[in-house]
Amino acid sequence: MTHAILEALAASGHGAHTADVEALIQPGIWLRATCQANRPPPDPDHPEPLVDTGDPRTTPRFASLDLALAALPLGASRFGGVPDLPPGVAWPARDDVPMEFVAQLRLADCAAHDPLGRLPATGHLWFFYNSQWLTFDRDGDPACCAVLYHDVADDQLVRHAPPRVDYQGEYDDGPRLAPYVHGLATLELATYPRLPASQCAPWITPALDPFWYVFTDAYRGLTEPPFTGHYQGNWLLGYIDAPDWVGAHAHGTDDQLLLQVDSDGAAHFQWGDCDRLYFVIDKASLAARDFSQARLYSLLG
Amino acid sequence: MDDDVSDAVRGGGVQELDERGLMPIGVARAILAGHPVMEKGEMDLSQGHAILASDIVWAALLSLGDAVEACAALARVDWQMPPRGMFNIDLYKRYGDGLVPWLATRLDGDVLVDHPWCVVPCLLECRSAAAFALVWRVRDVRGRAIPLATTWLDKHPDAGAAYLAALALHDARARAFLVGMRARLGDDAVTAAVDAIGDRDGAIARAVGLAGPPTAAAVLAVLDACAGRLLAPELGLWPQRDGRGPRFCHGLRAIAVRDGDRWGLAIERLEGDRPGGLHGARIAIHAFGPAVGGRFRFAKVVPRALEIIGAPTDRAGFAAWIADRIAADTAFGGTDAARAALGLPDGAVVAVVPYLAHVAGAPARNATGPTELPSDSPTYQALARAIAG
Repeated sequence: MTHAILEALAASGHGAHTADVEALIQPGIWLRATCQANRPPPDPDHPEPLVDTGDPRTTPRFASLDLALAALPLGASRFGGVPDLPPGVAWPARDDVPMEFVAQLRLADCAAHDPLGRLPATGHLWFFYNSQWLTFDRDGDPACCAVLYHDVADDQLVRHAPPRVDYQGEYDDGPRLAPYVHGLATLELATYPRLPASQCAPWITPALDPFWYVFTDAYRGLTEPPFTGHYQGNWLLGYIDAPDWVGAHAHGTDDQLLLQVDSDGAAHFQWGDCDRLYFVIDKASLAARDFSQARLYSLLG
Repeated sequence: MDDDVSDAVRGGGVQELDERGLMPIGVARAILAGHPVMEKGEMDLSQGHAILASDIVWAALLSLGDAVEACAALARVDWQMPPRGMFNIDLYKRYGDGLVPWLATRLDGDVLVDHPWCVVPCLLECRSAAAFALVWRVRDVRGRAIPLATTWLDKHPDAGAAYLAALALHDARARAFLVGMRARLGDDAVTAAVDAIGDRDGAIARAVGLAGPPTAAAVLAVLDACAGRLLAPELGLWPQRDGRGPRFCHGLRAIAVRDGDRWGLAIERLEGDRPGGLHGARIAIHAFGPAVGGRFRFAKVVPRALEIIGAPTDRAGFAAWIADRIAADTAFGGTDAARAALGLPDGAVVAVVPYLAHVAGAPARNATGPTELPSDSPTYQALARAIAG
């Protein structure tokens, strides 16, 4: 695929930039999410039938999520639901309010798709997002998210029930349970060569800028899965695939997209108004496996 | 003159400001004679921007001689519409704390009516003793969802702590608010205020928990602050008696602990109507006391797993099974988890209340209902005395 990109570059009359573009190409792992259970009611006080009637219209959504989780092996990669954490590892919180659980990735599944070895080959990554306290990404607040890494075998993990705290944000009508629990989706992985987005990405030099948007848009099919009517913009590694108007790349080209999660129905994710979550980390921290340095952005402009 | 005030006066169509940077005072007085009405009126576009009748009245209100004259005029206004901007503090910028007498006219009993909507923003800017006295009288705000007293104290911590400290020996509410300030802002402002009073025998410091072994008053101050949502208005740190689904309450148990000068009170809430799975039943330990730690220092909620071996899986059967265990005093188990949550793992249990006569605390935002505080409860008063020894 790298070759195809460079051929396309030459065919579009920009072969003089081959070396620059080749240096930018890096493999990204596309995460295809498949729904296993819908999101439970946001307020669990929502009345549900006392028994499972067998009718999908009235089957309790808590029970549906429980069943889907029961069918999911410990340690399996997932979006939403609840995480499997090593014993003694606490659910991350911000100001005593537990964060939302976003994703769990089994790194052994990812290793074959990560030829550059940017991620550890074993263990798991867990991604959490603080949606309380009206945090804004651009405040540079380190408690906006938590990314945990532990090199622990699947069978040593423990499925965590979510902590429950009554929380009432400024715009909530009444108290609700925090954290939100999302629906559950399983993940399939596929590798694509990735290029930076067209605008406001630190890799786009003045030499590339004049043709970058047209080029990357015309050859989008080389850097992402075929469009089948519904695109899930979920990527592990690679580049943020949206213009960065807010300076999310605080370390310029030394920053690395760690995980991009789309608003999508598979796990009933809805970030802001159809936005995405972008977990970003500087390359030195990634190499040092210091995931505490991960940062989160959701609105890029 | 403050630029915002001058801009507001120009917004009222005043093309030439007087030497004060305001509408000429004679013109202002003429506009405000009788019973002026803040209303939209006919829109005047002759100056290239929209001038409403209310803009003219507003400009006049900002252009009077002093705060006394302004308060008198403001009290005569028929407020059919507010000034521009719902965080408008032009009146405060113009008249300062002299505005407080007019702000006080917006009280309806102990409810402050935020109409026009500059009332609360202006009161939050004022920091005088009169402003504090008004804030202290207010128990609710109509027209704006805001915890007025905590917001005001956070904006004026030094002055606020001083006013509260002066009340602390004789006012349980003041002690609770001081605890709330300590939780939200740290000890500095409260300590400085108590020191400044000349608290020679340390009575105030002990009453608000800043020094010495715990007193019953200091214990109740912490509990009142937690029940009154003074630590973090967003968080439900105080256990509720009622609830449905995962919040369904089977029973409450209180455990009071003392370790030297340190103390804690845990309220264990056995909750949830499903024996397992997502949001399954559990024991939530609501831990209160100075050794608890966490973001809000004096309170946090720690979950504890519930032993459910042999429990029925249907919700009705599960509820009956739990009720039987509570009746047999076997539902809650030991006190180690509670002591750990309190930050006092080696503390001595000084009291256990297996069937707690609980108080509801303050209603959540947007909710209605009375406020029930621990300091008004014989049960919690007894627990506080037990802790204080």
